Amino acid sequence: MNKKLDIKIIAIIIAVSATLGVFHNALRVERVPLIYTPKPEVWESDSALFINDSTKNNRIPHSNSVTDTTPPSKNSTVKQEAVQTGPKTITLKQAYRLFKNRSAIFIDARDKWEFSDGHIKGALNIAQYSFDKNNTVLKKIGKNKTMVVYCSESDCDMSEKLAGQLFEIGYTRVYIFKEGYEGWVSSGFDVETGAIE
Amino acid sequence: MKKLLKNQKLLLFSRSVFAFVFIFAGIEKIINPADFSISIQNYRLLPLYTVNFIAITLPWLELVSGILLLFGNYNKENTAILCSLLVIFTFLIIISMIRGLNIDCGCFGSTMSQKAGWGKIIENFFLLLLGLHVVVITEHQKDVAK
Repeated sequence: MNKKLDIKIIAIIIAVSATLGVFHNALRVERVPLIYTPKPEVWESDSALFINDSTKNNRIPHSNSVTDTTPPSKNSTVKQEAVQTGPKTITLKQAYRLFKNRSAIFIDARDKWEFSDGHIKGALNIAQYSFDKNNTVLKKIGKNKTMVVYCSESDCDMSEKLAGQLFEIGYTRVYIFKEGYEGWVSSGFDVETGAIE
Repeated sequence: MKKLLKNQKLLLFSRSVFAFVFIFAGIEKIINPADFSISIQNYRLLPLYTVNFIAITLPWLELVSGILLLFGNYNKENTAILCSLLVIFTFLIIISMIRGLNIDCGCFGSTMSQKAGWGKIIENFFLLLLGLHVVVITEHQKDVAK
């Protein structure tokens, strides 16, 4: 009695499957490159990020309300914002400046348990894992608001994914804060615990 | 218990369910290999230059092995392939949990998001039992026939 597996058969099945996969991919309209090459990070400049800071004499009042979508006043000299082609990445320094200026809404892309354990002060939780465009938190946020999306640290890609999803549904001023919660905490910036009801 | 396990209908059930799960999983990932590539990347274990090739070929292995198994061809070999994949997937999930990664397991493509966690490990364990049932009883029946 032969109890051994036929390795030749296994090798043939694997080879045929791989060949079918490569051929199918080659025939696809949206084919995937056989060798993955990572996309380079696109960083946002200070001038594009802090457009309002250039108008110190005609500063637009900052609002703590996330529903504030009041357009700039007629006397404002705020420049037209450049159109973003996709979410860009911002540094810790830029994120903190937005935080201090209260000119962005911080979105925590982690799940609710991690969010509850600790998050950037004032951040809202939209778990990337269960993202839905009809999310109740999103309904309170105007599409012209600046949003900074983060997750745990630079290895975590939930912030990138969620930012992409938000951008696709019309939130064009969304930025990725790659250093995330760990980077924020290690810099000693403001955090808080608990879930927001 | 032994008599139950050797029951032909139960064996066919085990083989069919086991095969169908992988056929379904394979098809879902073949539909969107780009998303599956991202899922593989999320585990942060493999060199990045390999993830696309795996995303393109692995689902076809699941599909081909699943179909062959469903039609009763090379049961032992196909079950071995699929059980091996199952063990590897479970191992990857355990590693990601230890590392504290909060990721989608990528098991059924992007249409069915499932967190890489205990639920998935338990699911895989029962699936592995089905696979072992197929390979052990099939082998036993060959011995008896001889």
